[in-house]
Amino acid sequence: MRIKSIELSWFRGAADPVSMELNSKSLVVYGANASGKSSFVDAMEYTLNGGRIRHLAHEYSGKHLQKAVPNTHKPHGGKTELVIKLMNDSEVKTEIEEDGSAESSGSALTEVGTWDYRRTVLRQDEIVAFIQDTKGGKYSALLPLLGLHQMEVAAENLRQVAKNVESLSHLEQVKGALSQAKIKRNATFGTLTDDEILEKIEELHTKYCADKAATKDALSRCADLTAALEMRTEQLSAEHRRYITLRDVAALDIKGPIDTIRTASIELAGALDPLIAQKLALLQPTETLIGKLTAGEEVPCPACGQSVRVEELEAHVKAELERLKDIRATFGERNAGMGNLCDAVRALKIGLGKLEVKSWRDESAKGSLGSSFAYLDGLNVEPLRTTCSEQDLQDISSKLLPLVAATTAASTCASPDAKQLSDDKGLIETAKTAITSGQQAVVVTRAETLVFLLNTLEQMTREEIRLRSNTVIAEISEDIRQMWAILHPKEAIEHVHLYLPEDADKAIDIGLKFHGKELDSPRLTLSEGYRNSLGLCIFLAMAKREAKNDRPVFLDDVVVSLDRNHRGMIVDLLKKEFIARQVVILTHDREWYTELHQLLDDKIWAFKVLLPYETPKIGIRWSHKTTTFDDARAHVKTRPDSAANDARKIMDVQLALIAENLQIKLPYLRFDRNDRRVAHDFLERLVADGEKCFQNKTAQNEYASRRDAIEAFRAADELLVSWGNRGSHSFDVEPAEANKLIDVCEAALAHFKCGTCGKLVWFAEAEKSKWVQCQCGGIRWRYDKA
Amino acid sequence: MTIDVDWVTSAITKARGRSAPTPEAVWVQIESLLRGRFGDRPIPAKELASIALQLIDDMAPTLPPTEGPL
Repeated sequence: MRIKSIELSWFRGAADPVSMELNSKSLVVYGANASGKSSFVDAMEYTLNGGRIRHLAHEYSGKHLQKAVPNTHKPHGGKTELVIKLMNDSEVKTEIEEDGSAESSGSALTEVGTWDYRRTVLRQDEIVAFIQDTKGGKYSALLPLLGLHQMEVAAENLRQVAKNVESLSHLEQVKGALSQAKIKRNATFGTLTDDEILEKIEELHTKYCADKAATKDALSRCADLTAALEMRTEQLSAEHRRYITLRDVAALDIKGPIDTIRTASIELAGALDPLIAQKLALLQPTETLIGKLTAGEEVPCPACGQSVRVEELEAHVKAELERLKDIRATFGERNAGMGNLCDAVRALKIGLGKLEVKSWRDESAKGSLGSSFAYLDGLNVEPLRTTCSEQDLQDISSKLLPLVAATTAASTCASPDAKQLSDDKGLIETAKTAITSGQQAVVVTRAETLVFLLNTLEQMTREEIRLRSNTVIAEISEDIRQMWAILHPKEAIEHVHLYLPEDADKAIDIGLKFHGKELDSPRLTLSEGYRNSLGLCIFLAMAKREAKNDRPVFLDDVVVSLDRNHRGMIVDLLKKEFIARQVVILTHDREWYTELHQLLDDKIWAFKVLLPYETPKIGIRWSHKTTTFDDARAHVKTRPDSAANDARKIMDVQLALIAENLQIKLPYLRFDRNDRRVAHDFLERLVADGEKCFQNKTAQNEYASRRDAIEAFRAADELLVSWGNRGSHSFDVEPAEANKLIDVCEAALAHFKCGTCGKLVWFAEAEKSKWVQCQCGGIRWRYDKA
Repeated sequence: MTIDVDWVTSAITKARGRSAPTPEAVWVQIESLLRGRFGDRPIPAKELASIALQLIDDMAPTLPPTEGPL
């Protein structure tokens, strides 16, 4: 669906309503810098991107761009609005409130909602940014255009669910606990099988719980046994109970966790521990946050406030986390070690605080262990779980290991009965852990199966994305190649194409052949102009994929860095590839505007000029000198004087531009500004110079003076002086006279375009800049008249 | 371009072939994830957690709490 008009009120540079009338035609808009061209493009971006304009999203513009979008001098009560009207008279109207909040309404909301900004609007700065972007950035920019966005979201959702399964199943912690349980089982039961351990429990159950039923499950039997052993311990003498408690304390492993923490700390010290810890602390919540954001959105960078795409931030965080993977594992080991140490020291404190060991403790404290007991009593255990310095480890080693050693020595004198009870108690505890571990192992296996499944499907989805991307990219590359060949015929840069690098996921780059050599990136060799030309081809190839929907394409100042020849080629490109599309070109290059005006078909294209911007209160204004000869013809019957006047105005503007291109020297007009020259002044010089300077190639391949052109200039000049002036001053031109004036003026201008190649006479310079000529050399004009 | 049904079916079939026996309810849930049940927007964090918990539950449908190998 084509656009009929875009109307702005107090939006960006606009003041009172100003409308870009397209009426289904394509349009070229010329305007000097800051005349307000981009306000119309901003309006498109604002509408298509849900109230966001990328180049305005910064720390000064406000959360809803409320400081940047409305005209700075909007009067009290003035409304900031924009209306995009389509050819079927449906429209999208967006009203923007003072706080920047906006509401869109209208019958074209659904249709316009399907337009993709990146396939609709191309700005010069976006071309530069795209070419200079990383391959990941290019992927993010192009992915929505490849039509694979939904698959990418599905893959990401699978990844996030897998991560949630991992964390909600506490996979890492449970696996750590299982590993500890295995060590304990091996220490207690050696190589006994599961059945042999169960038999052992049954034996003990028969021994200690003869009165209980034997049909219970293993865990219940263990519970029976624990109760029975507690009861038997209670019945022992105080001395025997002390032995048992001391044996329990002696079994605590404090040295193991200390070694684990030290080993991990040494590894982390090499990786600048504090910085890494800070990075991980920042990266992990950032990764979670990204999961809540929407692809395609922009978020402020936590460091500088600049807007970055969610995909860019996500790719960066993922890469950083991957880089820190080993370090994360070491962190995990150290944290587990600190947890184990904390548990062991707590058990030591509880064990040595029991009443049955009080006498032993009091006695021992009188000797060398006094400071160890004092240290243990004063120790706040819980903080060790999260922070454990080398000083802490040294203190624990020097103070607490002697205590454990003393309990080992003190418990060796236990009676055989007490020893047996203690051993059986330990055995039952280990058996219970082993049974629970079995269940946990099942849970771990299930969770791992689930994670494997989700990861497998994520991987398959990504492989499919890659496969489909390759197909789409191959099609787009073909279009890019064709467009490049039109813009750069017979040049040494060929085979321009997009490709998915093998070494990276979520990446796209641009390859090309430079003087016969394959290169992986245009950034290696191409000049700024060629890079921009390449960006233009890529965008147009993407936009071409919307051909069946007949959606408009906006090109905002996209030829800034192209030279005259290549700008000329863009006309060929538009004619060949976009003749059936509505294209809006905005340019501040007057020369190119003139060229487009000369070369593009008036039936398909309209041409408009913006006046230089004066003040925000006056706003954006169209120049009235934008009429075409066809427009003039349209009102010959009703207003012949106005039609004749329009023809004169066209000649004033066009001849000024032609004179500039042909470097026609005009006498300085005394007491007046040179830009007040009119068509007659230019035609007079063209007739005078044309005899020597304007030539065409004859059938004999020689150049001869273009007498037909000179006659045409003379005829136009004569009629303009008589009827053109009457049209603007005396209002008495007859329709027939107006028609003739229009025809003669149009015929005069047509002489500057080659009948063979269709290019203008100043298309290219020739013979060391002495001449300018069209592309085929059929017509030429001499600069050097000497 | 939406995710086409044929591709999802074939991907699920391949994944079934590669993984250990898995309850049917899990496959149903994963298939709907893949079909883009949630449209073209990432799933919000709360919903992600509830889907993950549901999948964990679905993976252990019948096992009594006190049984199992050591």
